[in-house]
Amino acid sequence: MKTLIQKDLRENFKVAVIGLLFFSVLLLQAYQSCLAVLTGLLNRTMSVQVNNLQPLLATNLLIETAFLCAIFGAALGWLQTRNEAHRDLWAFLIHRPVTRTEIFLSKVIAGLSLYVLGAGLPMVVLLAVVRMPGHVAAPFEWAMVLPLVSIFLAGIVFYFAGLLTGLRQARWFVSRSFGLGLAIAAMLSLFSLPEFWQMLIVLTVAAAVLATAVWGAYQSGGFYRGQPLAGRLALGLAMTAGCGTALLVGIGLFSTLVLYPLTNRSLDYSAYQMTRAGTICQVTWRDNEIVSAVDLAGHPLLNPHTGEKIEFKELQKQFAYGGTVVSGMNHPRENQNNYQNDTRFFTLLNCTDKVLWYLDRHGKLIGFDGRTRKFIGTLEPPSDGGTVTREPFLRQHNGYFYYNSYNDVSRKLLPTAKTIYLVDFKERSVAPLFTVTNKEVIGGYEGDLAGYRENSRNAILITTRKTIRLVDTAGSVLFTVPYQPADTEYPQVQFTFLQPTNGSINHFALWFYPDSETNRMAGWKMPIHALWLGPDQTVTQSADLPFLNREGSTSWPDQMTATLLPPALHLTVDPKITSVWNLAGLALAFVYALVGWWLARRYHFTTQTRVGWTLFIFLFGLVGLLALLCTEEWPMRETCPQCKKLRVVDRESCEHCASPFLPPEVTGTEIFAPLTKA
Amino acid sequence: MNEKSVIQTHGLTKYFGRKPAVYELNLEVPRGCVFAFLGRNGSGKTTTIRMLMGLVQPTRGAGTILGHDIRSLTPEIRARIGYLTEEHQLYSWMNVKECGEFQAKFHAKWNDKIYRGVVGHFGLKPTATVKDLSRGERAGLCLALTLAPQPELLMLDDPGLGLDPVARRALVESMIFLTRKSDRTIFFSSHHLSDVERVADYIAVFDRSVLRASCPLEKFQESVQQMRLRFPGAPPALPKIPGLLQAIRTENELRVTCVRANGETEKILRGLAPLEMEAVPLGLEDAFISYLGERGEKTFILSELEGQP
Repeated sequence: MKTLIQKDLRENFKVAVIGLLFFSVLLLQAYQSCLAVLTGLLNRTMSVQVNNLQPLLATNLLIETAFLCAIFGAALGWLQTRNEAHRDLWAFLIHRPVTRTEIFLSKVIAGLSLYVLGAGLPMVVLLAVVRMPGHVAAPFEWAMVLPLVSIFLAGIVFYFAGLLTGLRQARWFVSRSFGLGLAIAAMLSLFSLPEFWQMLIVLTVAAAVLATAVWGAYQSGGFYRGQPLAGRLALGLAMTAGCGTALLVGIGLFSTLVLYPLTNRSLDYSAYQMTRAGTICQVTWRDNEIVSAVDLAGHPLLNPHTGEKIEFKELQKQFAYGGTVVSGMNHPRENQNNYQNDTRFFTLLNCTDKVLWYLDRHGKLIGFDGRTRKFIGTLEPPSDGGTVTREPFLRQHNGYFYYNSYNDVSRKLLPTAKTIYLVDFKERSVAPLFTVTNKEVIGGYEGDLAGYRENSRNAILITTRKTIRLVDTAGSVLFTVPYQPADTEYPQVQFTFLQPTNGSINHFALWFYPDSETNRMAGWKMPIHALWLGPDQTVTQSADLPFLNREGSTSWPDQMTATLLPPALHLTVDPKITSVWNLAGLALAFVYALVGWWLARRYHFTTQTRVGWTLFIFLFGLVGLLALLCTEEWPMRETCPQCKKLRVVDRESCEHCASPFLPPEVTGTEIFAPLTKA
Repeated sequence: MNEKSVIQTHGLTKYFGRKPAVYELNLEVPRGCVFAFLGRNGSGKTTTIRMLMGLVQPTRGAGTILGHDIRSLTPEIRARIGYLTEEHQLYSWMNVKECGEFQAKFHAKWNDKIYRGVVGHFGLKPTATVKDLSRGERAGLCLALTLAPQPELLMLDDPGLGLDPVARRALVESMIFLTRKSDRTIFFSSHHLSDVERVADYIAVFDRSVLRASCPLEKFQESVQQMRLRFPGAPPALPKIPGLLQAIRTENELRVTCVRANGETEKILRGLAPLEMEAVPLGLEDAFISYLGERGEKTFILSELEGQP
């Protein structure tokens, strides 16, 4: 085995070197672009995407590395097998007096070693650079390496897919590459799964399936028949994923190029809007243009001056603004952004005097000197004198805006569970602004309020589970109202400044929006609760507005193409199990299963295999049927001279009448004699 | 299983798509012999060898090699078989010395003297890389790699392909050298009938995917006979003759080649009233060409063209 490993290492070394060069250039370029972001931030020459400050979590780097890992892994695997694709060279390899499992293992060991050299080494160098002080002006912790690790591991899945593509002896050539479908699906899940361990499970399963399929292919010379059961099952699964991916791509292209243009589909979006005078109207947008505006009785809005139907430009001037608070202040550690998202680890809060201030996930403000790119210290809430541990700063549920001048008041406000602090980044001090009562805990706040009044930006909206308060930047309470309905069902509060009347500033409206998931479970019956507050902070009016139901917005092309997906997936498009499209999908799955049964019977598969494939196709629908067609080998059929029925040629006798195959026709010129030496 | 046989097949069949490449092959190769596997291009020789070597799964049927099922050859069995492929493919980046070292690491019985001897015979420099070798040189290198492990059974798929006459003679000598021990067996396919005639004990002849002959070499030569009949004018029409392979008609002559000609055949031919009738001795090549050529009565190819514009 050692000899084979050495042979493979030497044979494919140049591929690894090419990969090494590509990865080095890519990572160097990504590192440079992170430095350019920092420079832009310090010089305030551009509005920047702050998530590019830590190279290990930079979106561009992750996406480009994912692409390169996929291409490099697949190419390496494919080349490792294509080198021996000539049947005589393949025979030379396979005729080694070693088991085919050993040949498989030696290939994989050599291939993975080269993959580590080509892809892993540049990543380790990048990590070393990032870890060295003076290179990256952003916080670091080891968990930040995980996104890159998972991309590296996803490349291994592609490596096995490449091996399988090179090995498979499928009659239908396109299906040889279907192993890549599983790798692509695994790579795509990388950017959607929230936790590394989940990704690790996906990658392990995908790699195990593909590795088993490759192992099986080595046992049988790339054919399906002759493989051990594990190999055949793995190949079937890999082909299913491949067919699924190919089908999704096909459906996507068909929908985009054919169905959507036919339906002339445009996305209409309706929402309630409040005018400065406090009137609620229902506005519908299409392609960011207002197409209709009606009052709650359904009458078109009229221009108060002319009495005619209002022009939309005029209407937009009448809209009132404010801000939104989502109750959900978390301990920083509880922030559930994806593990490859930098906001899981830190948020850039402010950049003052060339110092970058991050709120990390331990609730500390960490400062980095942007010029030297070195850590300079932390800012924490002042100790109350009695407690040893300080309260950590909390983080907004939804993170922060990426584009910002870092001078807004919101960037200077930081909450703990009880107190909103005002941070002075120049003086590097933290001072309490407002503290809630003992039994309350801050649920959310918003200091970046939009309004047409000059002093709107000096107001801060703070919610707890019990109350909603508006305070000014001196900490004085402008109003307090109870949080009702409860924040568990209505976690989002929107408030609106209204047109001042009687010289009062305390004139605004509050909207309580139901939690989307709870509302969906309730059949979208939970209303939006709105209330108006008068100048004396009393509720002058309230209303329950029907939720503008989003259900049924899926278009018929989506529904129709969804019927081609596995039946279980239909429900993700249309959750109503008895809908026409779901039933159509089930009926189609039944038809596909019948076709599968018929094919399996026609080629006289064993009963066990026949039942297995039929159930599989019923579960996976068209994808399952395609997988059957791609995976199985279809032997020639010829007419049985005895029973005159078509029989497959890979049996020892006719499956219908059990008569054996006829010996070759005798011509009378045969020469057979005992083989004994004279 | 017959322990005296190194290869046995029963109903071995392989389809490629709709076409049978090998059909219902029943073959037995005795131990300690040189067995030649003959047939025209595309008749199924290579497919048979590849099936026997476990490289191609048969569509149906069974076979054993050195007593083991061909569908599951173990490393131990492979170590006892030397296999030379048809096109003499090797890793193009290796040099001659590295090829030997690579192969030697897999074989406990590796004999470096044999390797160096064969390589030297073909004039190959140890530093020459495979990609720079001519086809004949590559064949020589492959032969050295196959012989040096001293296998019990040699499976050679057209070993003389691409070799010049001198190299082919070296190959034949190697085969004779190898079978000086009685337990060694060589199974080889070839188109060089003079080589076959020189070394083979037995032959098997494949014709259009079907085994048509399997016998000692002498028996084959004895069985294929040719009679020359002279007539005063154009030869008469030929009646039905059992075992007829070919009848070639010229102006006043008829050459009839058939299998197992006997008294009855002679009686039929004499019934044509020839002026003269004589048996023509056939070498293996002539016998083979007659055996695998187009069956039935015909004229020379060029005489068919006479009279055409």
